[in-house]
Amino acid sequence: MVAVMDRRGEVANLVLTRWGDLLNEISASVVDRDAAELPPPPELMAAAASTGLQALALPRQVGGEGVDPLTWGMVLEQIGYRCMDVAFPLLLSIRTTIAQLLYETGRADVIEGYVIPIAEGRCAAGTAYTEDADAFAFHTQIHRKGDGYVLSGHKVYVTGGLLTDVFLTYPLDEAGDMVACLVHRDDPGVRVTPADGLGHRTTAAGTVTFDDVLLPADRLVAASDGLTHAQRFLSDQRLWIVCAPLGRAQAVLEDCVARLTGTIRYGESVAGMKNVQSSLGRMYVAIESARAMLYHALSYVTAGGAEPIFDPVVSAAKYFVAEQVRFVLELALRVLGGYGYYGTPHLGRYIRDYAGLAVAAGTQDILEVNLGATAVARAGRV
Amino acid sequence: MNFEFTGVLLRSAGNRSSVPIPAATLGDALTELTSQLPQMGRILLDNTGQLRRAHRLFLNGELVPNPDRTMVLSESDRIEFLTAIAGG
Repeated sequence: MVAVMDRRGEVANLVLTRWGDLLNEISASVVDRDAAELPPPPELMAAAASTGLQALALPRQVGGEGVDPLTWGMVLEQIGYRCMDVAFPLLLSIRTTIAQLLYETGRADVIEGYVIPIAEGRCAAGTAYTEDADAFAFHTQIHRKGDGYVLSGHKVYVTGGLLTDVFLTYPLDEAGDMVACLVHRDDPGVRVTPADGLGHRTTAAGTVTFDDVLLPADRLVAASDGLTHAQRFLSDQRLWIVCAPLGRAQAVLEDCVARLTGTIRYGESVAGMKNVQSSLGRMYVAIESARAMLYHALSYVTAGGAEPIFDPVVSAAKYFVAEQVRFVLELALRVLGGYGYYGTPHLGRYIRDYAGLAVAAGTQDILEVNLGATAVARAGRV
Repeated sequence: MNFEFTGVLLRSAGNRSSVPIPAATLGDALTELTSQLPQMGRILLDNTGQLRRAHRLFLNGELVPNPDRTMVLSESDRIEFLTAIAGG
């Protein structure tokens, strides 16, 4: 653990010195962009790529720095700590995970055509998976036509969809099996429209419709068992999506202490009141325990111990950290009182945005079921 | 051997929590199972007939990370699937 905390200090310094100014710039406009439902400015996303952040966790062969999962998770945590726009680390992590999955195909055309452009920030990738249906009843279909395929259907929510140049999408084939394929935003028949959500107004979420889109055969990246391909993406992403929120929860706690220290009621600092200190103490416990759980899972993945499709340790970490982050935000609202509700433009936004942690990459409820079922199956008592 | 089903697979198994199959290998067992319960094939197998990796296979309570169709089974073996699927 000592070595882990040493690395945390190094990563914090790295993020501050290398990307601190960029994160401040993105943060500066977040309130206005949230109201206008605008993503981080394109030039700042491009700067993230040109300074090596988009490629940081990607292999050196594609221009990355090949940092390990523990380091990448800590980088995302520090970005969350310093950046007030939740969209930035989320888009960053999704694009990195897609690039990693595509790199694993080992196909030169895929690496040249997609992985390197993603790493260099020349191509924005998004995952078009979600439908209003279970995975065995998706309506999006792909059929053979000549040497290629024709794709039809609709995906209801794509994080960063309005910015996406290439969609990694999952239709069902004639046999009812899911496949994974790449669709360009400018392929004839592709239509992208804004998607409304409870939060994440700066992620440029979109819906995507495929109207008889003709795809060459080389767009398939998983010609069978695309369900497992999609679950692999979700399993990876499950860990990354809670890293930045944990960093933000840390920042919220520090903001609470600063605000309440300077707030005087009945002649004394609110931060000196015992009930307030108790709440701050519970926030601290939540953050530290969530961090311990997250670092345990990140270390486990780094050591190669995680199962790629559904890993109980990774899933438990996502579940636990998400619960603690939302707990911290709820307590922050309670100790800040009216200031938290109407005095700051940020806390309400975080509460809305991080409500998504309850459903993203596997709802908390389905994770509970899967974790419980895993325990039962291992006990052989089904 | 016996296949034992819970959750989403229980529905595809016609609510039979246990399905005995006379088979000496996993491949034979899956072939017979999907012959008896065709709807199960679409859930368990991909378009090449391989078991989808999203279904984690437990043999007598032990996770088998990469189950092979040639895996030998005995009469008393018990196979369960954990269908840990998220999203949709």
